[in-house]
Amino acid sequence: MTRKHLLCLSILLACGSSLFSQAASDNTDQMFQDNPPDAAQQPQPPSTDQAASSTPPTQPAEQAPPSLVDQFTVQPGIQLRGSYSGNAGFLLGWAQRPDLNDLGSGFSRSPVFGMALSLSFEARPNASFRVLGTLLENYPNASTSPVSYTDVTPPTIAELFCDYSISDLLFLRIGKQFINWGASRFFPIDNLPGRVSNRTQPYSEGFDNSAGIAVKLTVPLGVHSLSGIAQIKNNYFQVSSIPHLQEVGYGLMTDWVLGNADISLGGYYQKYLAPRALLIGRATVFGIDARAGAIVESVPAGGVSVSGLANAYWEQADVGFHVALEYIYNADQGQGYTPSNAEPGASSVQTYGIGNEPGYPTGHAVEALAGFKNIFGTNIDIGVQWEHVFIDGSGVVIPAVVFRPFELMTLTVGVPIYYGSPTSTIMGLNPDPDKRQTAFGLKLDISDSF
Amino acid sequence: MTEKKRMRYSAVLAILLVLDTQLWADPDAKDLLRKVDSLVSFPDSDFSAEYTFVTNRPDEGFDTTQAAIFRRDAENKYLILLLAPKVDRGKGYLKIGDNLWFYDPVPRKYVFTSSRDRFRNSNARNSDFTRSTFASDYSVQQTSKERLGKYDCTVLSLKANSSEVTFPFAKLWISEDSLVRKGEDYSLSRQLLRTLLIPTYQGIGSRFVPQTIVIMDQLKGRVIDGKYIGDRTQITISKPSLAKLPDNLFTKAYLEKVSR
Repeated sequence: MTRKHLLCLSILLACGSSLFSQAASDNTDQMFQDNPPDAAQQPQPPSTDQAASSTPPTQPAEQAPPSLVDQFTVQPGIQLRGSYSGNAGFLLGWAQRPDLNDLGSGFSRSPVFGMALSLSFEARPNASFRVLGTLLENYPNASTSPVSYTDVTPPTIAELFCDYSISDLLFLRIGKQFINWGASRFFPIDNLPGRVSNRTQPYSEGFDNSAGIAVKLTVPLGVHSLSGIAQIKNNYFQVSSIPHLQEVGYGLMTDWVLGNADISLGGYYQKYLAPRALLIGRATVFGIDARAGAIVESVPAGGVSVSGLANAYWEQADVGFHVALEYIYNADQGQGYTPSNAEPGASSVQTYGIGNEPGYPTGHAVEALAGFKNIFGTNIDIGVQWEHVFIDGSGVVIPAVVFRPFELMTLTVGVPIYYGSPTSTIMGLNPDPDKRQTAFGLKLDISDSF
Repeated sequence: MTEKKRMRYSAVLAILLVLDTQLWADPDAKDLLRKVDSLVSFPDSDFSAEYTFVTNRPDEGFDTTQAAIFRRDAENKYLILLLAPKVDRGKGYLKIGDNLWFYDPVPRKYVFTSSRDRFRNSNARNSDFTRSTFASDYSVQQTSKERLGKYDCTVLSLKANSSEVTFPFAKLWISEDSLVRKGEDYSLSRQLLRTLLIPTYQGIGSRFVPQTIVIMDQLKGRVIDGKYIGDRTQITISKPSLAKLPDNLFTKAYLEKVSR
């Protein structure tokens, strides 16, 4: 190193601590004068009209209400709220890879229409009790495969439950409710209460993410917690519509905070499902949200099978970048639990879910998502999602651009590209009625809450 | 002076300059940081308040988020319940120690996440809602004096003591009443990330709570007419209270109960 280099280095080091401080050249002094301009030079909501400009630098606080907690625990009357979204667009593409010499081969185009309405009510007559219900109307009916555009089904009760707490020491929830276990981001393999015996294929297993009728009891144990559930779902009943006590699903889950890790240990039992347990660990390491878990199931033939998942999420909020990755291994080959009266040779079914609801494939699978929000300071997001199932080599890649030209309005352009044999896992899940392998879609959404 | 000696002196000078900020730091600066922390922390009581975040994105308009914040500094806990916009009402954050959970009422699921994340896509961070811990999180590298409007301020240049701290470097402008009036947060490469301005405080008991905080983002923004304009978030804090909060308020079960 020459003297010149050392001298430069010295000057740089000497200036180092002050150089960076000069980056903020905003003239902020005027905010600290006796009559400063509006702090942010922007309108304020009426309820918070306490702009810095009109107040002395230090002043007594306004008279505090008895407790801010009250407004969340007791509310007069019934609260109503809802949301609506409607969309329209089109999808065009090829049933197979496009042939550049014959672009018309396998080409088709179709419109896309959809809407969703959600209406909720909530009543909190006193601090220990509340009732919450949600009605949901979806079009088209996504619970059928392929999606039906001709059936307009009546609204369904998505949730209807009451909460009851005893001195905030014991929390009870009874009614139709969503119960989500686990730490999965894409494949809900660890959501044990979501698993059901598939009625169309007795003694085989599927996944149902709709709300079940359940009783959930939670006991906070300081930073830890313990909860137990008893749940019934339609697919739990194999014999009749009247549930037998044995056909109820029973679960127990504990959450423990150990250092900087959140550990969940739980177990679930239902007569037609293999008894199973899960262990999940969550931690944030170097700014990455990391989770890993194992699911142990008893195998009807004897012994146990072990499935696993691992996922990670990293976000660089300053530049609007996020990336998520999840891997699972599903050791369950779809046979589920075979009770003693099972028909010999009951066939396996794909465990990827019922209809178009989310599920998880057999064997190894991976899904990744990466995207930028508000790219280059615009109202445009870009992203790409990739899912791959190793057992049959099928998958899908969806690059997409989301543009928000006006408030409440979203324009989405996507290019889903499916690969794999026509009978493969992912190809079978393609929600496009025409099962296009390579497509271009454009959709306009308008949505709001009220 | 021989060439060899010159080289030695230059090397010593370089090393000294590396250490300059440590050696020349005001020994009272750490005490000042402790006082700053003590004036805006509530180790002997609970704290609750309503926060309103108005984020101004150039060419995009305003986003308003309202939240109720409940803090128990003695146990390093907080609970945040979102009140507005309506689409986010019922979502919440629970922080216990270094662990943070986000509760989404739609799938009725908790997400274990990083407190360094931005709060609801504003210019605030989840870590902004914890008690003030400048004295333990940072070492003072340099002190100086500077006038900020009508305030004579002590300016402290700070370096984080561990990688767990949200911002590796920071600068604080502290007025004579030991309240932070301005702050700058820097990345590891000393890129200015955001500037905070706290023109007014409100007294509560023997402590203080900012009445208004303006956060100017130096990374998120856009160029308009050839000039870079960063996103700005103004936080207004109302209804501050030191009333005792229920012990089980800082639990997942409670958050689930009060969520929509």
